[in-house]
Amino acid sequence: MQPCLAQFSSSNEGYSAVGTYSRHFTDVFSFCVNQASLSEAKNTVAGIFSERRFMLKELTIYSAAIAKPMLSGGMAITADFTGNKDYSQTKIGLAYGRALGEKLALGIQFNYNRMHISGYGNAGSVDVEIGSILHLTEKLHAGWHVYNPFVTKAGHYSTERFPSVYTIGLGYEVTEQLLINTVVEKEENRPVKVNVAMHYALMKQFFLRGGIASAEGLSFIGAGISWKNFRTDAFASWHPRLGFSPSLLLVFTCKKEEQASND
Amino acid sequence: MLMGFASMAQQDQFAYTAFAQKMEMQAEKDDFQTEDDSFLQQTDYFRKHPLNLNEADEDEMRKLFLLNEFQIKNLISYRRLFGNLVNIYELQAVPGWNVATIQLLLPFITINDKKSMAQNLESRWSGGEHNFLINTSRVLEKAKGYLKPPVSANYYQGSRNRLYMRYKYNYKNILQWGILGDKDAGEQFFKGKQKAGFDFYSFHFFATKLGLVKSLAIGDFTVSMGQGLIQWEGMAFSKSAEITSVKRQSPVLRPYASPGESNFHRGIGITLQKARWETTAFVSLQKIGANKETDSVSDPGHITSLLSSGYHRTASELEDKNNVRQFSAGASFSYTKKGWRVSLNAVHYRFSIPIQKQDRPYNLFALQGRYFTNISLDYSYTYKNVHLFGEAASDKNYNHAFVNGVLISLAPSVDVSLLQRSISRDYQAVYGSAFTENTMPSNEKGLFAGVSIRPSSLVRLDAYSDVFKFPWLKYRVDAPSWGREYFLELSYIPNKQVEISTRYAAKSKQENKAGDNTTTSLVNNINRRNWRIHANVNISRSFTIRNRCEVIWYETQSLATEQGFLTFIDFLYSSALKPWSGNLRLMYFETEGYNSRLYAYENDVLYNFSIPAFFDKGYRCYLNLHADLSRLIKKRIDKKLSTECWVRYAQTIFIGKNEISEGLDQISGNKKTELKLELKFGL
Repeated sequence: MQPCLAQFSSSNEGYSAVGTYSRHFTDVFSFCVNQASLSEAKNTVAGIFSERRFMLKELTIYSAAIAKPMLSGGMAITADFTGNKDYSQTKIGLAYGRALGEKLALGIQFNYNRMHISGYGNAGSVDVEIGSILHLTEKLHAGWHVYNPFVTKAGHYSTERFPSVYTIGLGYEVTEQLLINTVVEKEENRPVKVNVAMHYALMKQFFLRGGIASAEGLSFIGAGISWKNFRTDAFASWHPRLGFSPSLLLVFTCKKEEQASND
Repeated sequence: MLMGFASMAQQDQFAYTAFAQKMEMQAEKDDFQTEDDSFLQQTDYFRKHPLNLNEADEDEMRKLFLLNEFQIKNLISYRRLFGNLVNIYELQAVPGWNVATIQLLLPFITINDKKSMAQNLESRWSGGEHNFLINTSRVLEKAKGYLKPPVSANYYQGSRNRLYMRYKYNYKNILQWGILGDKDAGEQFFKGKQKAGFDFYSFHFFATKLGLVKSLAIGDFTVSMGQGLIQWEGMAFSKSAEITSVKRQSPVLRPYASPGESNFHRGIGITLQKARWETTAFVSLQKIGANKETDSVSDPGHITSLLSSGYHRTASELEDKNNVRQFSAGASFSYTKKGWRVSLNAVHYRFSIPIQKQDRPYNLFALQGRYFTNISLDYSYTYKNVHLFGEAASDKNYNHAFVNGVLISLAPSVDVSLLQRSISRDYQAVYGSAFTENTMPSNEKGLFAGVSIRPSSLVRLDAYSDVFKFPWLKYRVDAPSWGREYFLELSYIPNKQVEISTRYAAKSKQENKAGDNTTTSLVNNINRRNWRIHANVNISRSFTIRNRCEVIWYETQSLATEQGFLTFIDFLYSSALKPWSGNLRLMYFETEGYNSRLYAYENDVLYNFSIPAFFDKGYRCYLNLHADLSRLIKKRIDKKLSTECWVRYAQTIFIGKNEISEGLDQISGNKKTELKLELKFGL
């Protein structure tokens, strides 16, 4: 079953993946990167994200996610959309992740993908992604994640399919302020991609993130400000030949009354 | 504990390795080896006269080459806040100074409160050291250029020996002068065209710390400004595992006393310093060698390229010797305040005949004309754990070039460096050398990011990525192109006796398709991937073993993959009790061609270094012996005279070849042997 469609991916995956393999830097979008990090969900969080890919309106991507700790783990619902009335791709996912003991966490997500091309109709498919995180030490965390291992078709009549993506990640929490993260990703039929990124909290309310990816030579840099329950990030990724992709992210944490923090 | 199993000599080896690694990556990139041994001269000087860190200023600490910007600035602040350091162990309290760095530096530093001896002018002239060096070497096999009768009109006219002599006086690096003469193999000596004896003579005089005059240079000296966009001569490293050395730093004027026959100025230079201001001015007039072309009989000719090898062996090489006059002048004004330093720099070059490169598409924006002027503004700023630096430059046609970088110490165990360069395709700087992929700073845009992580004293991880593109054509690249480079090195140091490291590097660039001889060739991707494992083990206080294994894969779209392999083992012996030391290397290499060549840094006699490229199949071995004959000689001649001697024997044996090299350097047979002898007398 050839050929492969382009995977629905945004810069957010590289950006939010930074916090995924850690204990203290996770957020609602890092749950989308590896569902096992849902085991770290302590409060209900919701987030929205938007990216203008390569500065083209037609390639804008929108994402939303909401996660809530429940069933001794965490559950999340995610939604992604890109396109316009003539062509669009939508993905809706339901995820669950929990910890199995002190050191291990597992997560799983079911997605419904829909592609719409005017004149051709819609094509829907379901796929699954699984992930696991291992807390090697207090500071070092490793994990793996597989997207679409069972090779589902893009639609009932389609010969196209979404590619499988295999990832391993490693996060090193150097200090309370600094996190270094590496992710090695292999998407079917594409060269291996190695991402290295860093998260540095200059102050409790303000942080910087930056990273690079091999293969295409992508890099990104971003900053985030948090105030009470809100956090907003602005970041941009840069492709050496296709240009900039600016993005905006907003996260809202619904802190439980007993756990209301004083910052 | 800092002092331990490793002896001083072995500490020395660690520093050597740090330097060697940078030199190797430089040689790989440029495919060219410099003869500038100023770094080796400096470290040798510091070995004999350790730098007192309680007194050294920033420029002196930079001469150590092993300290990064943070470490230097932090030590200065520490001294200001807490006064002088009590002993070496206190260095560990300075932010950014870790045990690994201190151990590397131990042979070259000292901590004491002794005020330096009165540096009045008289004692400077007589209280220093005199050193006289003679170095001679010879390739034992006769190359084609030496055959009698000569095989062609161009042949090597001189003898097969290389001879180099240097006298130098040095008073604590504050006052130094010297003269040197160099004759390469194949050049004549007091015969034929070399009536004056050596092919290359150099004189230098360099004085520092004369009150208002910070430095005074007469004779041969090097000029380096900013980040190298308009002017940089002398040692400059680009990408290496030491990711914090992305910043170029050097005093504007430095003495030049190396046998390399290019990349220096001959004239006068002076640096004045008063409070926050520092001003440098220099002027020079010298003859240089260049490839000349004339269009017609009456045409004075034009320069197609400047020569740098310094070889004047054959008739045609001698014709190009010193055939162009170069006049240059320049100035630099800098202002320092708190964490800031800003400099305004300018250089001007004037040639007796114009530079006009060959008329090819890739030379559309190349150097052109008789006069060249460049100005730049460079800055650096330190704020807490962040160090910003950069330079903005312009040439005579108002083309611009920018370099901006930042060094950040994110945590005691993590350093990050970033460097951005944006140099327009038509930017011209005759003697510029910046942090670029290209040899000259021109036609390049790129972003470099590096990180160094030391989670514990056992493990060290260095990595960098460089993404760059060339907006215009290049030599052998008939289209704008791009490239990428990734590097990762993991070192494991379980104790003071063992260091193991593994390194993976991948580099992609574009080049014309091999065999495509059309006017505008297709451009292909070329990938080079390297994997190396290296181990250093101190078997005992005097004995060290080094081992390396390296593989390279060279891939391009049009040709088959070439693979290369190299492995060597070194035995190093050096004992504090014995006056002699030595090292031996045994190496095997096998590559499928020149494209999959591998470089390996070799130990050599004092002040020499050798980073040959190895390709095809064969063995390499060398033996270095060093003997301190002072005790033997002292009794007989003079109590103060020190005499040292180095001997080197190096041989490469190729398998399956009956000819080595090409052209006049061709040797028949499959062996190439070199013998080198160096004597150093000191008073």
